[in-house]
Amino acid sequence: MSVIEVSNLKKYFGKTRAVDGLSFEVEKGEIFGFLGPNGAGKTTTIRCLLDFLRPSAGEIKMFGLDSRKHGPEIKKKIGYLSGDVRLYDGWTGEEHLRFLESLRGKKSIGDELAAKLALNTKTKFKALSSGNKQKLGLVLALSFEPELLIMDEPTLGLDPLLQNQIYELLEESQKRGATIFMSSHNLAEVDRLCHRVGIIKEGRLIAIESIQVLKEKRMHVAKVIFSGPFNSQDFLLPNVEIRSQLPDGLILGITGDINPLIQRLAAYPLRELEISYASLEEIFLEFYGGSSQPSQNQNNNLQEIPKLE
Amino acid sequence: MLTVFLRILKDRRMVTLVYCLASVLLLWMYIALFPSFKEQSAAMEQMIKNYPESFLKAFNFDIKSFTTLEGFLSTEQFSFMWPLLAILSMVGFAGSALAGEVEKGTIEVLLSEPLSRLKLYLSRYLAGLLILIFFVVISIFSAIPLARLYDISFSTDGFMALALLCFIFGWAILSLAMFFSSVFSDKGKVFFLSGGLLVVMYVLNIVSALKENLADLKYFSFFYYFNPTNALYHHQIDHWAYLVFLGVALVLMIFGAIWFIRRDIAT
Repeated sequence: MSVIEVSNLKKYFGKTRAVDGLSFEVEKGEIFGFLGPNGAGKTTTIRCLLDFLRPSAGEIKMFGLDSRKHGPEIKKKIGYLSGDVRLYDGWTGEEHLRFLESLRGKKSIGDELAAKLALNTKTKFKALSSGNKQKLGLVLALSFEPELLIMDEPTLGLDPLLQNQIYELLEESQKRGATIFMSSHNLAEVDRLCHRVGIIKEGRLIAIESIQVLKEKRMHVAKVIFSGPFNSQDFLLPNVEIRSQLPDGLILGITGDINPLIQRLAAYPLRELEISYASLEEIFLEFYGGSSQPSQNQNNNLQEIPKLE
Repeated sequence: MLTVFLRILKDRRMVTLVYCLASVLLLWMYIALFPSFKEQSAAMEQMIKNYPESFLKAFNFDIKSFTTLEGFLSTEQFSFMWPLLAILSMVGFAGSALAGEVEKGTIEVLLSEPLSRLKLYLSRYLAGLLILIFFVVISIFSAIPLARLYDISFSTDGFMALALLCFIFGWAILSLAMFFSSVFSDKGKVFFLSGGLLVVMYVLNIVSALKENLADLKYFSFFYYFNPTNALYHHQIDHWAYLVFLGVALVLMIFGAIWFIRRDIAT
């Protein structure tokens, strides 16, 4: 059963096409990642889902209901968290919780969640650190055990410890049966959490892939500084590209498995080795060639973009 | 809806009390000063005769302004200071109620909850109306015990008529500012446009009284229809005042709601 059905969604701001014909579905119980560079249309899509923005064309259904006509009914089942949580400066966390409980007419599990995250709910929002503000936003989003969580870059700018706490809570929610729709830039986050991802660029959906396929496409960048002389030709492997040559080392781009490169590097004494994920932009350029048209399956791994009737 | 309504009242309680207190203190000052002015009424009458009639009309001065409490208060307090406080209070409230929430991003908290935009708009609008009623009652009827304190005679009917006039005037201001607040995402724009429009109306009213060939401009000013002397002294409110203030209040309330329901809200 589809929890979210988006059909030919378009959103224009004057002549600017923020979202241009998106269609996708999110199934019950899955964690769907919505990936794309800045300005791709992720936040606009999320704001259309939540009915903050009114689509220029297209249709959004959630739980089988039209998102615009049945907004309040749908929102009873939704929890929302943005990457830049903005709550009432003069209210404490507790006041926010009681306010939402009164609005929804039911008791929340917010206090338990706050205790779990070691969040002091007696402090006013304006006095909280950015990490604690995000924790409070998460507590509010999860406090009514929503059937659908919509999150716009939920861990943006947070330290790894807090990111992990958030991932654990999201995984618990998903095990409870919740569906999660989250936008992200962070490939590691998507790797860990998501079952499927939609990749958006310039307002268009380029592909929808299972996370497994994306993992196979994963790119790394390695910076290697050697302790002595080296032969760069030794690193010309099928999935390795020499991006630049340093006086005493190399910067390499690796697509897929990094083990063959590691084996070659093991033959040399190293002074420094740094391996990091390539940015999504680099992946887009590598796999989607800068095109905003839906890509042809480059290595027969792409799933077909679901068509809505 | 009740939750949002009660919460905004709670959040605005200090600001509302400050406006009420300022208004009561001004009223107290004028009532305390009135006996001294009354003693000098003969000299005042002589002074007033030296002013051009159009000037007196423009600034709502006549001999009643110094011989009766009603005339004195309508000139000193209710022709300028009270409308100024009411405008600041209503525009301040309306600017924060919708546009201010969009500007700060806090409106996302409300819009992501099971609450329709119409209910959100109405809860804010009705809270503004209740604040206005509270402000009108405190800032006008506190004159009665204060007048008794200084043993000054007055007519209660005049204060009733004035309260009604002030309420419909304040309602029109609230609707005007709420309309701008529904349209814009920046409370600065709401303050600027509402305040600017009211300043223009005030100037039009004065200019129309001073220049005969511009007399018709007065019909475009709220301040022409807002006549506290007539209400307080003669216990009358002009029919056009009802029509203009209630018409503006209702039409802008409806347009504001429609605009807020239809618009994009991007924080």
